[in-house]
Amino acid sequence: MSSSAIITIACILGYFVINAVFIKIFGRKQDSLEEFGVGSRSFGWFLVAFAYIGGWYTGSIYTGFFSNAATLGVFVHYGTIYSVTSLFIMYFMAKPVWVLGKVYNLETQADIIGLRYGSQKFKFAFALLTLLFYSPWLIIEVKTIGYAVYAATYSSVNFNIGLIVISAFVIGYSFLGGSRASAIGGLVQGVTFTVVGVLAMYWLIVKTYGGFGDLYDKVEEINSGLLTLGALGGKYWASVLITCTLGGFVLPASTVGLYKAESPRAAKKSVLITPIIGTLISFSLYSLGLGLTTFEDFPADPQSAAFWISDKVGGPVMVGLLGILALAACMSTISIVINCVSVLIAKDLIGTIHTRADRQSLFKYARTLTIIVGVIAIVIATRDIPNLMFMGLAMYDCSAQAFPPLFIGLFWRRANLPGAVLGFAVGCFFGFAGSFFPAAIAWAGGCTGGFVGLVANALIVIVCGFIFKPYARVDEIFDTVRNYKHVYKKRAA
Amino acid sequence: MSRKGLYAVSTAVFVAVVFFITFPPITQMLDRVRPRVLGFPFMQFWLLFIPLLLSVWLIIWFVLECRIEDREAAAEAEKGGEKNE
Repeated sequence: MSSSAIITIACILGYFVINAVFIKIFGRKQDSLEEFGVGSRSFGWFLVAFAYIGGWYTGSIYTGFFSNAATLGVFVHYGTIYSVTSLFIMYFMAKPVWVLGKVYNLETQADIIGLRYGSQKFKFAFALLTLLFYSPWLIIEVKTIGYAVYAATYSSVNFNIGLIVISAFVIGYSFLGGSRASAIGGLVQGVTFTVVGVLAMYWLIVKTYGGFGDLYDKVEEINSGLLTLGALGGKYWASVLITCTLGGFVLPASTVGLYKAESPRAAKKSVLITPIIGTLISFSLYSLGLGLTTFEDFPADPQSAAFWISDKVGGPVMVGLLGILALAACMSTISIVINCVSVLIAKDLIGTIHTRADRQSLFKYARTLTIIVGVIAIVIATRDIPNLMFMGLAMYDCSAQAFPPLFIGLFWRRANLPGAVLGFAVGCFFGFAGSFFPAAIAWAGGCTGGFVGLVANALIVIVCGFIFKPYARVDEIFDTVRNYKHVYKKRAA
Repeated sequence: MSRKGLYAVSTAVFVAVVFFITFPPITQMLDRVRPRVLGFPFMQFWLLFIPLLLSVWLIIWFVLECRIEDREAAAEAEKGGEKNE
């Protein structure tokens, strides 16, 4: 093993110790489903903000998205924009989601659907489909861990061994500490790739190009197409951006993040730092990637470009640092997703079938499932899965279809079960068809299947709202949200 | 401004910005390298300006909403005090 590899491994191990210490100090005993799934709804705004940042920014921003910045240019900034626009959706949803969660003991996204539309069958189907749509991202992140360790250690540590060891660490603290450990880990990891990450990217940009001005001069001279959307603009750009904006905050873990806040105001207060930090992270990272194809020795595998330039400019210490940044982003996402998915399976799937199971039994199921889900993710990730990133993006188009039943349902009393079921089904159909059979939606003139699905889905929910009767308990649900101050005080007392 | 008014303005800001950055004729018009703005290529500038603009609006929205909530809570507490007297 080379001395460079030993330096990077030492950096990574040191970072693990820091994580473990923080999680141990600030962790709490896990004794209920509410504590395990939503941290007893007690997180302050700072923890909410960094748990969000940690979960939102995946490790693949240092591999797949970074390579897209190098090969597609400024188009990749759709990620920078929708990270902020989707926070508007979060802001709108914060109060109703939090209040309903508090009053009705909700811990999952499908819980709201079940409550709002009064159907356990729809809740079950919704949970199962969102689980299927969401799972590729878990596999992508686990795989990215293997990739980051392999690249950061100069191929000294085997891809699968790195993947297994680090994923086992994440699964271990998620099992022991539940959503609180995920959030504290997310805080440590989020601060790492926010503060250290942005500074490191800026340093790399200066060292690589001489500064932003030189970067843009060089790109404009050699390949100015990278500085415009070009053929990726127009309807395609519009559909990707709109689908991601609306879909971003209806991902299961994003919605659940709102339950974890100590109040709706704490959830909303996260906007004081989250959007600006998110913009800085994305902008600095994608700017570094933007000009890399102008180098003659740009790697054949563009996914390794971030590690390649770190090594070229900063040597093993910078490679180790980038490895830590990528691992931090992966670990925070994996932990939050595993926690969310295990509670989802326990409560929405097992709990819906096994109606006699009490909350303490569901808590035990959820905890055990953390291990089972984690091990399954590791086993799948060690296999060679072609087009995994494509599948993740395709499934995102389907995940976004949760927006109309969830969002419209939270703000419009007339939204009803037939509209939600039909809209969601049609939306998923278009999302799936657009990705796997693009010819089927060629008539949409360049719009993505996810966007077509969202339009159809929303129209169906609205039209059915005028045709069918709303759910009988809808007034009670809306009044609960409207009178939330009264409800909050009553429960607090 | 009332809470409803604030939400209406925020919705208008959100819709207007999303429309501006996605409506194909507008994006095609902005999709150019020159002129440079503050040293950034033209399109790159917009792709950075839009999220920063929205970030600032989110902060303003939060601050204004907190003020409205606090004002409402104070008015409610005052009402409660009058009733008790």
